[in-house]
Amino acid sequence: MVNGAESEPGSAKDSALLLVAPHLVLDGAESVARAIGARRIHVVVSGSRPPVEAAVTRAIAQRDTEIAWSVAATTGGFVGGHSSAVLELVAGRANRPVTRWAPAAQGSRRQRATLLSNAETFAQTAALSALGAEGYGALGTTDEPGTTLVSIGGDGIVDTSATTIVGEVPHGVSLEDVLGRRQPPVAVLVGGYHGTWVPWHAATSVLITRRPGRGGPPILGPGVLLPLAAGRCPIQVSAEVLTFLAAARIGQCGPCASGLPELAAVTTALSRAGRSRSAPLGHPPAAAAAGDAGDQVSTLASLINGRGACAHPDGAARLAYSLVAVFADEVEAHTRGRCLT
Amino acid sequence: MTHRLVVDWPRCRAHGVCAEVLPELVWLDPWGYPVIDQNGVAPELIGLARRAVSSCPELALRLVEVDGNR
Repeated sequence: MVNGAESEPGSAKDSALLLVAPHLVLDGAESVARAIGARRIHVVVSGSRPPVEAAVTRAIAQRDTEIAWSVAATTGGFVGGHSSAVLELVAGRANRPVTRWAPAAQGSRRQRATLLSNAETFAQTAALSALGAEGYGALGTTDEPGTTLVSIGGDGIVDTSATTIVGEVPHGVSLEDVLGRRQPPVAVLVGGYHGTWVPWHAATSVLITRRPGRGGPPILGPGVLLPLAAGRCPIQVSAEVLTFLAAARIGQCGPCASGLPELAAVTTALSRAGRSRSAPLGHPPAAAAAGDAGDQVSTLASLINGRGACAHPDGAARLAYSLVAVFADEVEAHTRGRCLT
Repeated sequence: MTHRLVVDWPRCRAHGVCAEVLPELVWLDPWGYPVIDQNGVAPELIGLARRAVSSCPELALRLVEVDGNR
């Protein structure tokens, strides 16, 4: 199963691949299918990106193969791209995440044994077959050969009209190498809306890798890099992203249904508290409510983290934790009614 | 092989029976949903854990075996 659902709003890499080089993805999927003896390949695309579905359908029609192909489009929004939701969709059920008791490859009563990977992974597989191990390893590092695709957002972060650039970068290069620009951003949200804030001063030491270790580089996730432009408040932007994530939840799991809107509300209150600049330092009334806002954000994040059928609450928690950790000074200033931006 | 309690989140409706039966390992969050001790189920609590599982009105709790390294 080729997961090209790409429901993360800031991600465009799978769409780019399926629009520009669909046969690379399909070649990879077909060689994997042959290797494991699978006779059917499902390609799942986003229901909100119709041109991608059209491109995949066209490409499949051009192929002369014994494989039975099928194309399905997600209907489940942000969480509809989660692997378990995609498996449900193809099994003919609602496109929503379910609790997974066994790996998809093992199969279960709900679902036949399925090898599921992201569209990019199949493209990488095809590139590896075409280039050979040596050619493929010409880029990247010895430990992690090859490249990965990234989607680089405009400075808006929550502005969906901003232009997204898709790039192929070798593993092991730094975030600064990838984003290097004359007007450096304040920070980068690495991994998209479910991502981690990285302050720009750390951008030279943060390396692009698909193998983040504990305490190591941030999780690249869908490969989305969102620069935070100078003059934009990280708390306000985080609050906007968390509000988006809360609206994108489907509410089937209690902790996320209840906790994610609270997390968004607390972060939004903290964001607004920073705007009461005229209030005197000390105990400004608007900031009083924000009192232990940093602690509240962390507590709510820990109450939703890992407590759902999909990784949506985990991703929101990751963003919230990193806001409090990376922008501790900004959070503290906001609780006193001041914004450092 | 150790045992862990796992919640099937889309099924859980916050009845709270698991926390009543097994307060040693299950607490309730501010919304009434279970918070499970992540250190696994000690052998002497397996019996109670099974009872918590069978008492769940939504069948939303499972006792699963996990490899030592997870």
